[in-house]
Amino acid sequence: MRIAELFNVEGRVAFVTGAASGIGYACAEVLAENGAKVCLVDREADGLERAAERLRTTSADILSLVADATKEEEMDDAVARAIERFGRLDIAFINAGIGGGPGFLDMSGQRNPAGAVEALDAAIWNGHIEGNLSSVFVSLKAVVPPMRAQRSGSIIVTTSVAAWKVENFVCTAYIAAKAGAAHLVRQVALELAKFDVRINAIAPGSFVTGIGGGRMANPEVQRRFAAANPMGRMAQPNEIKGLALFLASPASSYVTGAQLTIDGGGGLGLADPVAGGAS
Amino acid sequence: VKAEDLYRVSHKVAVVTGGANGLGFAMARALADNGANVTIFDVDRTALDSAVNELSARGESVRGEIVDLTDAAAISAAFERVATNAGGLDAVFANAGVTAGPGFLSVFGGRDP
Repeated sequence: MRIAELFNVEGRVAFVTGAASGIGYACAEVLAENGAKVCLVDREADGLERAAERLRTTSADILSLVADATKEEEMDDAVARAIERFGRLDIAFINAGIGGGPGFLDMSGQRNPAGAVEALDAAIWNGHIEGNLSSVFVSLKAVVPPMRAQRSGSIIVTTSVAAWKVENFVCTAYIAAKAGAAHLVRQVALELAKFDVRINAIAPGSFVTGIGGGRMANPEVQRRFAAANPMGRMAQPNEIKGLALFLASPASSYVTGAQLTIDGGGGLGLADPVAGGAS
Repeated sequence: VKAEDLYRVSHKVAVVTGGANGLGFAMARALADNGANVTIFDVDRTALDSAVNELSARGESVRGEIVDLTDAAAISAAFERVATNAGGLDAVFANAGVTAGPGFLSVFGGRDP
């Protein structure tokens, strides 16, 4: 089978949350570049409009929808408007999420009292549960009905390598929320398999995106993440595209309930000091 | 980026072990269909000839090598020939294996002593 046929999303209708930047934008872009009709969803109106304008240079079938992925009414309304414009819903990237919050170690390897489990602010905990777990549930409630009714669809949830690997500098609340999202994906996959609706997770490692208040833009932070990775570098958002198109397209027709990690081997640990070079 | 560019394998040199049948053959066919230079390693000469003929008939660049994947020297020599003939090696599908053998339950649910 030819690649164009295997990965064909021409005319498919996609709904991407957290689409204004980073991984969400890259997913939206690869779908648009391959002929899908794409609804960009984000709570940040300005960034969303800039992203939509940029994508309209690739495709005329772009709809931008301002909505907060933690609010049921807003997500329901966004899905209704997507279907009103394009008639159906085939692909949903449930990508919106939040980063940040203290780990129990800081980036320099020192204990961080604010990140200690007994000291962690309940507002930070609740924020991660809402922004990284409940938001997935709310999004699923909005996108599943049309897919179940048409008996087809592919849902992709952005989790994190932190969904399966604990990490000393990542906020404990983030890790717990992402692990919950990953397990939610498996449970919903079990439920929806009979309806030919597939749902999978992408677990990214360290990507250069705007997550966590933009700390990834800091060269020192980038250097530390790169040094802690077997490949010796962070990923660029475009590097999500292959996996995104795979999961969105018929190429993954028998894949459901999976969580596919894309982390340059970061979850494996570090075999040797990257600075020393490997030969 | 279009799918054809994102997943481009044309002119890539690939080896698929156990590629004469089943999943391995599907891998070899997907690579060949998309322009890769494919060598199939297999122990089953009849199946290998049939697989190479089928894929070659589709106009693709496909070769076969009889290789016993338990023979380290034979494996090394086969890879050496691929790299020499094709000028390198880009992808290996280490697919060959043997069937699983009995579990403690049969597929029909009874205990399998």
